Amino acid sequence: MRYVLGISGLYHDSAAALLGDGRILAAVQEERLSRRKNDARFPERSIRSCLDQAGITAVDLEAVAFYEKPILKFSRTLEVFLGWAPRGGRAFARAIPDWLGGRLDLRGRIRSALPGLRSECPILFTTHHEAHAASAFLASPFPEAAILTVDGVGEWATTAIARGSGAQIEPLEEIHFPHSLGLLYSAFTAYCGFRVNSGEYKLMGLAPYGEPCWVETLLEEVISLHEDGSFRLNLEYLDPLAEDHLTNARFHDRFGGPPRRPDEPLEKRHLDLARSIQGVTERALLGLARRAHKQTGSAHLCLAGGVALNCVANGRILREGPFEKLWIQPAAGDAGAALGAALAAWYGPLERGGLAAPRTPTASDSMGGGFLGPEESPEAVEASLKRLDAVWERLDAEALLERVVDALIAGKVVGWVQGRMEFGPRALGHRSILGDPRSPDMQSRMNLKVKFRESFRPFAPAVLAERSAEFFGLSGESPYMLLVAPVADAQRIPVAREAEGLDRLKQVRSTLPAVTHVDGSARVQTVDAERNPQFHALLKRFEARTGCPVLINTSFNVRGEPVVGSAEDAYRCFINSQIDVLAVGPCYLERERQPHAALPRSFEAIPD
Amino acid sequence: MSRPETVRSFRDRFAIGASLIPPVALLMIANRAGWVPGSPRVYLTVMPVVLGLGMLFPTLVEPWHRRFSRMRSWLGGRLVFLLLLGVYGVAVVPLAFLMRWVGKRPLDVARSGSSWVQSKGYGSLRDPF
Repeated sequence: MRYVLGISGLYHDSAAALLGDGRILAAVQEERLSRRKNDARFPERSIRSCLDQAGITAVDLEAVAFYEKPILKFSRTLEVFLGWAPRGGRAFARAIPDWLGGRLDLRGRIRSALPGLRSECPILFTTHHEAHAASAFLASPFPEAAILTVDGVGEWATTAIARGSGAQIEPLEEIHFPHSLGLLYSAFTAYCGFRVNSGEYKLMGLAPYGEPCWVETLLEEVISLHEDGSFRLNLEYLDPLAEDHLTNARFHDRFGGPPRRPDEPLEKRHLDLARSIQGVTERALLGLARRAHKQTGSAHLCLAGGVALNCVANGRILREGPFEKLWIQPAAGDAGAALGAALAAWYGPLERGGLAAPRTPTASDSMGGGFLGPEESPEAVEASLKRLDAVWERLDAEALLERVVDALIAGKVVGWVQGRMEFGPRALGHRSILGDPRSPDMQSRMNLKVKFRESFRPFAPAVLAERSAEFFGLSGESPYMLLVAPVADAQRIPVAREAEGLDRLKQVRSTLPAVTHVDGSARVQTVDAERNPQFHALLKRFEARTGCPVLINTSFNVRGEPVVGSAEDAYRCFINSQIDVLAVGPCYLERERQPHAALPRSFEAIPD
Repeated sequence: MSRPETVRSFRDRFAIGASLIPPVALLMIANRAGWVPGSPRVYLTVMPVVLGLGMLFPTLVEPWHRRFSRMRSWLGGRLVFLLLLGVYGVAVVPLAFLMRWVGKRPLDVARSGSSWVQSKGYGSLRDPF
């Protein structure tokens, strides 16, 4: 078998991915193993995990691919400083040591991280947006497609349109830094008091609580959207070289004050700004999608880049855009670019230095349901629990399902750890916290007492694929929870009088109140037996007992923590939160039987 | 966590012992300035002695070594920061103005017009640039 390793990192969300004869064997985000959220360090643990999962060593690698061109990125960094001067001195003094400290000599760094790597094994470099495009198209089920990648910035490109056909990707056009949708959305994320590169989906969740009263101001003064689908930012309001807040004094004056600190309460203007920037972003993305359709003529669209994690916008593209079918890389951010780099190297033409493998797309995509990380054997799980003095029962598969469903029906919150770990930001039923979506108080209970996070944030439903149309207005499948769709009319409960702002949270809007957002939408995961048999079986059992084929599915972690990976991570999180029941492998644990009230955390808490 | 004396590497011991030299060097400088009594030869003699003592008894010196390492990182970071700020002011800013004077603008900050740029292709996978 021929193995290709892909690597991303040194900026945010480091990861590694391994292909074997073009098939995705393993992919892991560094944060899951290092327990440091958004870990940007060189992904040594992920690399080791990928090799271990395949049972190989560095000697067996045919090629190693890195997700961007570091020297091109460095030259862009210098040019940006030249373009921004005399501003930017402090950013320059902070950035240069990182570059000189190891970001430039990637070949040396990769070779030292892979002892035994043969000298003839090439180390290849894709461009950043090529890696995103490859992760989207080459893993998709489409033989040909338009490819749209949108993020903060790669080397120069912040947005790119390409055409995919067979095994080839042809780049067509780009938008260059500093005109960046990702940068703009992150600027508002930081302004509203959330952390850049991890808090963007909080801003997205906040949007439905506000009014779109700033949209016209944004379009007149901050971003101009053009007929041809492109856009330009007004840099008089933004500071693209600032790492934390990205906005300047003029922005603060215009939008009502300085950036919100995380410990300050949310004001109406934050809700309205969230709603407005979300609306503007959706319009911009629709314009880009229409441009991609015009440039390629394809009926299929593949999406990747961090902005493709904006599932509300994705839902609009699917409903209102010109494409018949949409496929979004589940790990659309920089972690997925590790996979894209490997795919680009595997399928890339010989004259470019690739391995020129032929491609035959399958009816389903090649992501294996997104379950590409490591798993522990039942014996390893029990060994971990024993080390932690846990109290558990070992059950067979049927008994485990019954007990878990009993707990869910009783209104308990269940931690569920089964099989291989997910790759990407969403938990898809292998590292999940589950709850009954019919309960009106489940959302606030899980937010405040289990996840320790902001109460406004909605939870997402997992629904049996065969019954999804009864509950959600979604045409087709959504196995990776990347599309937002309205809750079906038949499930909606009219609200007599709409409350304002965050008070809307308390109003019951559907038969599934815990997963229905204040605008009547939900971020849906459709679960099918082929991709996700065990979780599908759990949903079927819950449906058989209650008539409801839906569960709350949220990631198994608390605020500031990466999603749990191992049984030990899961047990610590279980003990340190208010999760009632833990089902890890074949082991069933109840909170009241555990000897611990608290355990030392296994993660480095990252503040918002 | 401290390791027993016998299992430390020579390099570790040397690093720990060497952390005692800068305070002695500072005393020697103060001596040259007339603030501290003694002769420079004394301080020069003391330096290898403290180095040797530190290497022989690293556990005793280790708390100081840790504090010294933190101070050194902090100071080094700030010195590099100031140095690079200087480079920025002396080299980058004048170059930026010169580029603007000859009509070169690395950043396209215009507010109007299409921002689409024709792609030049991905280039060779072998190149990091």
